[in-house]
This record gives sequence, structure tokens and C-alpha cells, in this order.
Amino acid sequence: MRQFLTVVAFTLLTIGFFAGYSNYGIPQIEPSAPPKEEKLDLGSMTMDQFVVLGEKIFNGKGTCTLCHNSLGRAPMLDTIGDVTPMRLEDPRYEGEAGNIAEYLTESLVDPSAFVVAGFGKKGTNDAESPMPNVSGGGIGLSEAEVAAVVAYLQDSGGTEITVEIPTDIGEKEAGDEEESEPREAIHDPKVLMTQFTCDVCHMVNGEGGEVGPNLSKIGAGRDRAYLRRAILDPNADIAEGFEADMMPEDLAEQMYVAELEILLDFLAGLK
Amino acid sequence: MNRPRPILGIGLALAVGAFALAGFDQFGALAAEHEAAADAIVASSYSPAPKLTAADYPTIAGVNSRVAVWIFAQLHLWFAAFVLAVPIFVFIIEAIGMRTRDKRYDDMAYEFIKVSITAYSLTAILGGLLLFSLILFYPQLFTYLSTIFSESMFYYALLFFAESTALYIYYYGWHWLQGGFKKWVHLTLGLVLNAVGTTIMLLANAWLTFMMSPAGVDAAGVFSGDAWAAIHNFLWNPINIHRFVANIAYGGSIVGAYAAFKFLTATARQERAHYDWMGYNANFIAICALLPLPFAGYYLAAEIYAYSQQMGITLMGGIFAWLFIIQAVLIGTLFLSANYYLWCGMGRSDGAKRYTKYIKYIAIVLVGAFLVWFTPHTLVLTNEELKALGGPHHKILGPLGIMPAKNTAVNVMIIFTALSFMFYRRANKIATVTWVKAGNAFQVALYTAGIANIMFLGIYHGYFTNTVYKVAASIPQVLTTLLVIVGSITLDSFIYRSAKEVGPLHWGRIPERAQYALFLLAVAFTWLMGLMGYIRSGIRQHWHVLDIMRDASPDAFTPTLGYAANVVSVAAIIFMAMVIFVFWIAQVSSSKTLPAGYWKE
Amino acid sequence: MDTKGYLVPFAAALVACGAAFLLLDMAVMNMQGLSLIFHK
Repeated sequence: MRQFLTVVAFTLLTIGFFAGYSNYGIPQIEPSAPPKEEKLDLGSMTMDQFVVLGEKIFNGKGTCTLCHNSLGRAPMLDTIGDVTPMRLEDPRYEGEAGNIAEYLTESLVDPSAFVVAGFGKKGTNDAESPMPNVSGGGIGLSEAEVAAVVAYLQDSGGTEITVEIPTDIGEKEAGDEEESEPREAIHDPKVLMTQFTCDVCHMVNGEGGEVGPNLSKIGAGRDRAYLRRAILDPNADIAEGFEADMMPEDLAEQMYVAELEILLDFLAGLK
Repeated sequence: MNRPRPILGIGLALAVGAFALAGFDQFGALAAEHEAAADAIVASSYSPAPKLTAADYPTIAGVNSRVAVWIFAQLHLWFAAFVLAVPIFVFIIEAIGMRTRDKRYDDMAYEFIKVSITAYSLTAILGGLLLFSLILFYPQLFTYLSTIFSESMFYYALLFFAESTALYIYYYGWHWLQGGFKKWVHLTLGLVLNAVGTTIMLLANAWLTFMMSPAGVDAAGVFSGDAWAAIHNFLWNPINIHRFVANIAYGGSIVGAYAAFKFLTATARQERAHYDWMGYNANFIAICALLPLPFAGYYLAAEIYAYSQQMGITLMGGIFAWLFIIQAVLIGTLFLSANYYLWCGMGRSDGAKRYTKYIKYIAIVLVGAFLVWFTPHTLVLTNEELKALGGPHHKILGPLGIMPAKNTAVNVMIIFTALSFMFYRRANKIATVTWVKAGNAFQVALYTAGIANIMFLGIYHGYFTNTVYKVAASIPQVLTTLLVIVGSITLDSFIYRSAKEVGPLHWGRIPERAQYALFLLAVAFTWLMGLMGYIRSGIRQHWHVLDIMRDASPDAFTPTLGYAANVVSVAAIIFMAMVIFVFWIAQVSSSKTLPAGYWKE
Repeated sequence: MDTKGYLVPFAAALVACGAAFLLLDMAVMNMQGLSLIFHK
């Protein structure tokens, strides 16, 4: 019996060590939550905003930077403007693009149309790309999101932006489920900022875009009435150094009253 | 009939093999028929994968559905691995016994089967629990999968008849089917048991690999009707190979723990000697399978990467990366305890003193390799720490975190484990061939050249070339290790041809702490399997079937490592308790109480 | 450490094994479409 108990104690100690190490010896990273479908408001977006959206997708939902970085898993994209014409002329090119925008779009949804030398799947002699179709299930970019990424790539790749901002969202399931019931109200101000794409243009505490004014301390300088006006009638007051007609003017139609108040509470508290 | 009829035995085996193949052919035929029928009906017989919401997942108060399925699945896997492994090495041990006509082998084989017999019903019970919990908590997923795998699930259930029949005759008829032709029949039954068990595993592997690398369905999840395509999806064979080898190593470690416990509680010297011998054999089985296992695992990870670069990078470069540091700790534990047991066991031979002076160097190398393996690459740091360090990697130790360093470390660990084993085998022998000095010189040269080559491939290709070269260089590294092991074993068999024994081995002459090395092996193996099971399942993240059927349950989120480790630990403790029950039953079945005065005269 | 009986076979075997392993490396890298030594 004594032996048995010693062995049991030894077993529990060993398991305890492994569990303890996994809890305290290793950084406890909180993996991000499963992605939600985001709604895009394209009707009133400018090209600059569209490019910023593309950049956000490039660094976020698109998971592009997992491979397109300096570690060498995928081609670097900063000279895409210069290299694309050469690629279109390359005898190995199997796609149907005629210009840079078409080529970039094609590279996103049919990456194997042209595989840059040395980056193909092992054993396929650069005939097959390891990159997934970004409109597929794993990444699931809509047509509009793909266009935004192309705009961003053109802009950062040193070439003229030639894509057009699509007029409809183009999501495969858009409209089916959403129209039957009213959308559920959002209570978290940070989620509101993402949902209504505020963070595409405005920075809060280090996160967000730089198209519009930085809101990190907006509560200290502006009163609630100003903030309400800024959301409901953006052109009423233009901050110094910024231009008119940049911010969407139909947020009043999109947000619930309760959500507007939650957002104003949040912004007023940013001091 | 007193002469063995090997022809009949082989014939039976071939028949079983043919049956198995025909079974698969049937799939092909059925699938083809199905496909033709489907074409005729215009592919409307299968629906796309359902799109679920949180409300579609039934709950039972107080039960976390994800944890329930997780624990039942893991417990089932542990037992299944055990009951698949035991017949493999029992078959081999019985065959060795038949070849050498040494009854000890036959008795040990019987004891292994006896110990594991209760485990079979526990495997089935846990499988049933798993099935029920899947149906209860994930009904739409189960309906979707069972539509695609209806045929294989049906055959899977039928195969259990075959398994039970083979097992019961094999076990209960062990002492009846002795000698001559009967022994061959018995051995063949062992082969049948293995074939059926392996087929069962292959079918189940198809379902879980389908969830990771779906095939035979289109992007919306509509089944094409081709069951074989769904079964032999991209990751099916890599998992088959990895699980087959890992099961053997695992089974060896569990029976090793059994032998270790019986050794510690043995009273008679004979008993101690017997369980010491059993423990040695179990450890030997575990090491034999442990050596090729890292390669099988690497192949599996490489295939995951080839299937989906995203999944591969998440696995090793993303949020699951730290899990592999924990894995490194566990594998280091496995290698160190297996080696430690071997070194302690050398004391059984009076000739071991010649080699004991080298042990400390092997230990230093193993610990060093382990430390390299366990060094992370990217550190999670606060801003101050980032500034102080000058980046997310440690300047000196950071480079040890990338794959080439890891590959080099594991190849070195494997070679040095083989070296430990060589010393163990040599300890009790004195070579009588005239060329022994030259032979030893060759052995040292082989190891030296091999290790140097591994280091060259790891350092040059690992740090002075690009990614493609880095990955490609791991193949010659692996082959070098394999060549060194096979070459040195072959050479030693020639050097020690007609060698003299130093003396009879003193079975039982081993310190008690060595038995704890065997326990450590079993526990670490179990926990490691639990961790790897979590990774394999968790890498799908928020998908039930990757890219096809989204997991919309409240538990779709990927938990933290600590949480996963805690679930694995709880499951491991439950498993250990059940295993103790299994071993206890084996013991109880041969104890007798003579109740004085109870029965009527 | 006697020279003739040990060191000579050792040296010979070391060279032979080393060469064999290098050949293995070249062959396996070539099979993957690469050379042994990396050229930019």
C-alpha cells in the first residue's frame, strides 16, 4: 500500500509540474475571439478612407502579414507597381489580367495564376502557390474588401490607385439573414467604433487611423453637444488641419439612439 | 499434426489482408456507384454544411459541452492507443518466443494481453460516451459528418464484432492453442487482431482528418458522394503513420509502468527478476518506437503546412507556438527518463564498468540538446522589456529558437539515445573477432561523421541560407540519423558475432529509482498525448470542418494554454485512476481467498 | 591509444563516412531541386 501511495503521489506531482509550467512558466496569451462579420459602409467613403480600410484588412482580417514580411515566406509587396508589368509579360504567367489592378485582384483570389520564382509549393516547380484564395472560408474577404486591399497595395506599392470603390457590399450572405429582423443593439463603445468604422479614420489610444482627428483626449477639449454634432452633422464643424466632406454623413440613420448615447459617453470620457 | 503449417498461417493472413483490401475496394465500387447515381439525380441529394448559430447547440445544465466532448475523446484516445499497441508488440514477442522456443517470451506476451484485457471494454465504453456527447451537444455537426461517412461508420461498428471475436479467442485460447500447428493458428489470430484494430483506427482517423482537411466536398460542404475521397483526405495518411508509431511507444510505456509497479511491490527475488526483465522489454519497445516518432510528427506538421500555410503558421508561428515549447519540455523528459532507465539498467551486467565513464558525457549532451530544443524564439514582452532587450528576440539565445536548431537538437538526442542503447547491449559482451579495434574505430568514426554532418546541415543551412534551404536540409539530417543508427547496429552485430558473455545478467539488480523513470515515462507520455490531441483539434480554431462548417457555439473561442493544460491534466488524472483499475483487475483475477467455514461441507 | 590498430582505421573511416554523408546531402538536396551550397 505504501508503494502504491508513493507512486500515486509521484504521478500527481509530475502532472502538477506540467500543469504548473503551462500556467506559470509560459506567457498566457489570450487568443483573439472568432472573427465576426463586419458591415462596410461604402456609399460615402473617399478613396483615402478606402485605402485605409484596405490597410486595416491587410494587417488584420486578411492575415497577409503572416507571410508577406521580411522573413521570406512570401514576396515583399512594396515594389508591386514596378514588377507587375514584367510579370504580366512573363511566359509563366497564366492569368487573364491586363493591368495592375486586375493582376493584384487575381493574385488574391487565384494566387496560382502566377507564382513568383522560388515561392511556389515545394515540389510543384513554382506552378502552385501556397497562398489561399482570400475570398474563401479561412479568410473570407468580400469583393469589396478585396478591392480595398488592392487599393492599399497600389497605394503602398508606388503606383496609381485604379480600383473603384464598389457600390454594394458584395458579401455572399448579405441581406439573407439581416433583413428579416432588426439588428441587435451594440452596447460596447469599442465595438461601436469598429462596427461603424470610426477607427478606420480616428485614433484612440494608439489604435486606429490618421485620416481624421485623434480622439484620445477629445473629451477634455470638446463638450458633449459638439461631439453629438460631429457624429450627426460632420460638416458643421471641421477641425483645424482637416478637410470637409471626409466623414460619413448618414451615421444618424445607421445608429440606434441608445448606441449614439453610449458612444458619446465614451468619447466624453476620453480625457 | 505435429509439424507447424506455416503455409496455412500465412494463407490466413493473406486472406485477412485481401478481405481488408476488398473492403476498401468496396468503398471504391460503392462510391463509384453512388457517384453515377448522384450524377443521374443531378447532385441534389446532399445539402451544404449547415450555418449554425449559438442557439443550435443544446446544453445540459452544469455541463460544459466542449470540455465534456474533449475529456471523453481524450480518454477514449488514450485507451484506444493502448489497446492497439499491445497486440502489436505481443504479436512480435510471441513470434520471438516461437523462434527461440524460450517460454519466457510466451509468458510475457500472455501477461501483457492479460493486463490489457479490461482496457478493451473501457475503450468501448468511452467511445460510447464520446458518441453520445457528440450527438447530444453537437447534433448538426454529427448529422453532417455521419451523412458523409455513413458507410464507414457502419463498417466501423461491424468491425468491433471481428475485433472482439479475435481478441477473446486469442486471449482465452492462449493456453489451449499451444504447440505445433495450434501455435501458428494462435499467432495468426494475433495478426488478425492487429489488422482489425488497425482498420478500426484508420476509419476513425478519416473522420477527424476530414474535419481538418476536408475532401470530397465542395466549398459549401456539399458531399460529392465519393466516400473514399472523403476518407483519404490530405492529412489521413500522415495521421495514420504518426498514430501507429506513437501508439507503440505509448503502449510500451504503459506496460513499463505496470512492470515498474510490480517490481517495487515484489517480495521474492524471482518475482523481482521477472518484472525487471519485463520493464526492460517495455522500455525497449518504447524507445524503438520513440526514435522514429519525431520524424513522423515532423512529417505530419509539414503536411499540415502543405495543406494550409495559414494553419501551419498558426501552429508553429502563431498562437499555438508556445504549446510546442511545452511539448519540448515533455519530449526532453521522455528522452531523459528512457535514457536514465537504460543507464541504471547497465548495472545488471558485471561488464558495465567499461562504459559507465562515458555516461556523463551522454547526459551532458542530452541535457544540452534539450535546452536548445526548449529555447523559444519570439518572446512575449512588455514595452520596457522590449526596449531593454532591443527587440522581441534574445540576441544570443534567440537564434536557437528557430527550426534548424530544433531539428539539430532532436537528431542529436536521438543519436545519443541510440548510443546509450548500444552501450547497454555491449555492457555484457566481450568481442572475440580479431578486428574488434578497427571495428570500434569505425563505430566512433561513423558517429563522429554523422554528428558533424547533422551540425553542418543545421548550422550552415539553418543560418546562412534562406527558408527553402533551411527546411530542405532537415531531410538529409533525418537520413543521417537513421543511417548512423542502422549502420552502427549492423556493424555491432558483426563485431559481436559469437561474442562471449561477461556473465549472466543479474535481472533484478537495479536501483528502485530506475522504476520511477518508467513511471515518469508513462505519465509524461500520457500528458504529451493529451497536449498534442488538444493542438490537433484546436488548430481548427473556430471551425467544425475547416473553411466549410463554422463553429458557432459559445465555446468556439480558442482557450489560453493554461486552461488547455488544466483540462489535459484533469483528464490525465482520471485516466491514471482508470489504468490503476485495469491493472488491479488483472491482479485480482488470479487471487484466491479460502473462506474458512463459509461453504457447506 | 595504439596508432596502427586504432587511429589509422579511425581516420580512414572518418574520411569515408564524411564523404558518404556529403554525397547523401548533395543527393537529397538535388532531389528537392536545390544545391548543397547556397547561391543567392
